[in-house]
Amino acid sequence: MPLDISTSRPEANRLDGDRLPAGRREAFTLKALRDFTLCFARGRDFDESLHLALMVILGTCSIVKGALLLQEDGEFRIRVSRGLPPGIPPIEASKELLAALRRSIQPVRMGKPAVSKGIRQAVADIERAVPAFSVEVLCPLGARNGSPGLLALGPRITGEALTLQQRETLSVMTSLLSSHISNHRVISDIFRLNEVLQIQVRENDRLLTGMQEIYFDTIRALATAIEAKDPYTRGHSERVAKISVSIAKGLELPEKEVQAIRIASILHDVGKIGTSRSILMKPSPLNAEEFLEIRRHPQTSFEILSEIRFPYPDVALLARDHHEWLDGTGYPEGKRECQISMGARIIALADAFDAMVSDRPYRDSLSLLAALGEIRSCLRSHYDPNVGRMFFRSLRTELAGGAQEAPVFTGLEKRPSRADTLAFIDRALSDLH
Amino acid sequence: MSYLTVRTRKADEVLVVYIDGYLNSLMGEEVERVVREALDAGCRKILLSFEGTRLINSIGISIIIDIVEKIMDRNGTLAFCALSRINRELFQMTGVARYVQAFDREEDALGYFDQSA
Repeated sequence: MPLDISTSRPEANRLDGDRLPAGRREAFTLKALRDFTLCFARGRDFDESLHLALMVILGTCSIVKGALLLQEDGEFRIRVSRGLPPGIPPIEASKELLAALRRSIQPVRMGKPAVSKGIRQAVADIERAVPAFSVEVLCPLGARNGSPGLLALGPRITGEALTLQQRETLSVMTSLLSSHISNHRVISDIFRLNEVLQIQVRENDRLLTGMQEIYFDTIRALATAIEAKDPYTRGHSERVAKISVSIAKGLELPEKEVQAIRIASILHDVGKIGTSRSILMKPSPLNAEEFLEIRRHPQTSFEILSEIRFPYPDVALLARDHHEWLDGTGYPEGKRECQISMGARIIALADAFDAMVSDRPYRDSLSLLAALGEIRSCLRSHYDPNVGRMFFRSLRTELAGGAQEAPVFTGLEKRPSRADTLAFIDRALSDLH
Repeated sequence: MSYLTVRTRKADEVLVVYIDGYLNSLMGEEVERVVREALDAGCRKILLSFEGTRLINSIGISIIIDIVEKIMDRNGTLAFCALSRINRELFQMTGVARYVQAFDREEDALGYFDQSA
């Protein structure tokens, strides 16, 4: 009987019949394939994407009941199902079944002869687990790439067999589903591995922080040992370190060098441990012999520090060369120009400046302006002009109230008016340009 | 685009379920829930009205098939009304049509339930 879509009679319309406009079935199949691929993106999680995929397959083939089983811990467990009661027990992943799944990627119709023993056994197991479920088609999923699954489908609502077009569509969908499941397993593995790595990284960070704390404590302990012997140098090492690091960062030295300069600045005077206390504390100028002894402290610093494996380069060398001057008049070796590393040039200036503005047993501190004048007059002969420029810039920034992370220059109580100092620094900087 | 509103009304013994919007996502399981609860409460006459249904896709078909199966299991009666031409063809193509009477208007469908009582 022809389909009457314009009827207004109160009886039921005949919906049934095969007379559909041309291309309707093909369009439905194409739309179903599109819906199927969208499932993987639209599902909020893996199970929801599987649930949606199962619904599209059932809807496309007019099948009432279906279940998707994935292999977990040596058995196939129901991951999602439709039309079936909850709590279905898992089925055994027998050797025969796994072998059969590896051999076949096409949906297997149970009514056909030559269905392998493994598949038959699996279907019997499923039907025993869910008596209301008669499996008509069993689709192998993803066995080729090592993540096996099964899609068990019940009869169509009409009781008829799947058409050729439906079987082909089902084959395409199960192939896509296999890829989706494999991808999910790979991504899950990556996430799991990533979590393990992150835990490892956090643990390493914790250990590293602990080691760094021990390391800096050791450095500070060494510096404190010198200061205990020579109270006039109290705080000197930390102040030199701050100034040196500020200059080194201003010169954009690599981070490892900056750290080496920081440590060498803190420890540059460690060799004074070998200098007698009477010389360090002597309230009058030193005689020639005493002078020679005090001049030995950079070499002693080098000898002490070269025993330590610092994580930064040349710390011991930087400490040895912190009294070397560009014109070769420094000590212990009278190195010149390029024989003196940039780090040692930086520490030399920072050390000299802090010594000038500090009280010493044999003299009072210089005023800030006098110390700056001394530094300025010794640029090129003693101190590197680039280091000097960066030193003046850093001091200028701090005096002008500019943004420094933390104050670099401390204990400059005797400084004259800020305006005079800034004017002096500006003149020095303009000379250096 | 996906929205779905499921409304119901009781017309004597018949539960009329109005499916407004898109029957193309998991939101459609709301229709299943409404029908299941009605069946559990003893109702055996269900009319699905598709007047406000904008689209049914393969997921929607899966939902409708499930409802057809559940009502047949409980010896209930199911009818559709106000189907668009496209949805009529869809039910025809998927075989659902063989098990469900369809009417143009809701009152005609309600009359059918009266007769089958």
